[in-house]
Amino acid sequence: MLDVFFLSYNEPFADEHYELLQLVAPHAKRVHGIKGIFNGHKECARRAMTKNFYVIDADAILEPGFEFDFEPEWHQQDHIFVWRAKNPINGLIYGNGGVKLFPTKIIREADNWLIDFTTSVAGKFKPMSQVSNTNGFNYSPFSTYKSAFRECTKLASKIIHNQKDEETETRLHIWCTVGADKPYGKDGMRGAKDGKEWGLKYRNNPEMLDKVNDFEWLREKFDK
Amino acid sequence: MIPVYSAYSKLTKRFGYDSYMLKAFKLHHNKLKDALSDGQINSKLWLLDKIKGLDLGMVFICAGWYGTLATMMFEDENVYVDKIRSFDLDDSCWKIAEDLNEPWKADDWKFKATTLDIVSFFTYMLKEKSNTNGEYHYYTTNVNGEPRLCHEIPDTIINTSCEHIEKFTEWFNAIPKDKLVALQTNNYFDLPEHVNCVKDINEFKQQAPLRNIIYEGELELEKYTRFMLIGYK
Repeated sequence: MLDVFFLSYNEPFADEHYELLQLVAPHAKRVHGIKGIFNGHKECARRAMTKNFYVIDADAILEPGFEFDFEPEWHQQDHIFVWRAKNPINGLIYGNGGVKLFPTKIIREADNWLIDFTTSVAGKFKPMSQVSNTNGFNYSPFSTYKSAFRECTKLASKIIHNQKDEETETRLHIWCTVGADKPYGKDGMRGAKDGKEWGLKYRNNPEMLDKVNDFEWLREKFDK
Repeated sequence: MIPVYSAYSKLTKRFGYDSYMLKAFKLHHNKLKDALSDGQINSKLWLLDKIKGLDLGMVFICAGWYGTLATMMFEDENVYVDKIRSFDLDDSCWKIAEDLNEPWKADDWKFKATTLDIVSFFTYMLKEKSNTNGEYHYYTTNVNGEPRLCHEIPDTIINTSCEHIEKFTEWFNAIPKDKLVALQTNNYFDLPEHVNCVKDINEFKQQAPLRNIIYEGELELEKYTRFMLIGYK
C-alpha cells in the first residue's frame, strides 16, 4: 500500500475533505499550510515511506469507487501518473486537478521544475483513464479565477509536453465559453479568458508564464 | 471482406472479444449488416473521438437504431456517460439494441431502448416544460413487457441520423437551451429515406444553429460525405 498525502493550504473545507479521504484511505497523511506547489510536494516526498506516493489536493471530491490501489510496475516507478478529474463548471474530464502518483526519490531530489509542476518535474508522465475525483476548485470567486487562469495559460502557451493541438484548443475554448450558470462559473470564464490571453502573449517567455505560480500576483489580476 | 464481418472484426479488435456481443451479433447479424458497415462504424468512431473527455451525463440518443453507438460509447474508456437512452421510431430496433447493450441494461438500466417518435416526444416535452421541471416523461417496457414510466433529464442529446428526420427543424427547435448536442448528417441524397440531407457543413449549421460550437467537421466516406456538429444549443 502506497503512501497517500492530502495537500491543503487554506481551503475552507479542507478538514471535512480530509475526513472523507480517510474513509477511503485511512493511512492518508496531511501536509498543510506549506506555501508553494513545489515545496508542498517536496514535503510529501520527505515524509513518504514508500517508493511512490499519491497526492490529492484539498479541493478534490473523490469519485465513489476510486481506490488508491494502483502500484506501478518496476519499470514505471520513475513515472508520474495522473488520474482524470471532472471539471464542475464546464464538464471537461482530463488530468487537471486529478489525483497524482509521484516517484518519491525523484521528487526528493528535484531542485528544478518548469511552469507546470506535474508534467515537468520528473520528465516521465503517464495519464490514467479512470476518473479519480471532481476538481472542486470553484469554492470562491478567487479560487475559481485562479485555477482557470493557471490552467488556461498552460493550455494557450502549449507548454505541456506531448499536448495535442486540436485537443488543447477544444479544451481552451470550452474553459472560456461554458459554465456561466455554474457556481462561480463567470469567475472561471473570466480567469480562463485572462489566462488564455496571458499564455498566448508570453508563450515564448517562461519567466512571464511562471507568474501563474505566484498567487499574490494572481490576486492582483483578479482584483483588477 | 464482407463489411459486416470487417466491422465486427474492427469492433472486437478495438474492444476485445466479448461473448454477449458475439451472441447478439449471431442472433441479429442480418439486420446489423448496415449498422456495422465501415461507413457507419467510422462515422461513430469519429464522433467518439470528438466527445472524449467530456462529462456527457445522461445521454439521449435519438434515432438510435440498433444501439451500436451506445455500445461503442460504453466500451470506450475515454467517453464518460452516466446512462444512455436510445429512442427509435422503428419498433424492430429496441430488442436488438438491448441485446447489444445487455451488460449495461442489466446494470440498473444504464442502457435502455424505447420505441417512440422523437419529434412528437421532444415537441410535447417542450410544451410541458413548465410542468415537468426539465424532466422528460415517457413509457418504456420492463423485462416482463410491462409499461414503466420514466422521468429523466438529458444532459446530452445525440442524433447521428439527422438525414432521416423529416421534421428536423421542429425536433431541433424543441431541444432545450444549453444542452450539449452532437449531430451528424450527410449529402447522400440518392436514398429515398434520406429526407433531410444537406449539401455542406454550412447548410447543416443553418439547419441546426448552436450558440457555441465546439466541433464542426466533415468525414469523406466512400459514397458520401458525413457532416458533424457538436456544441451547446
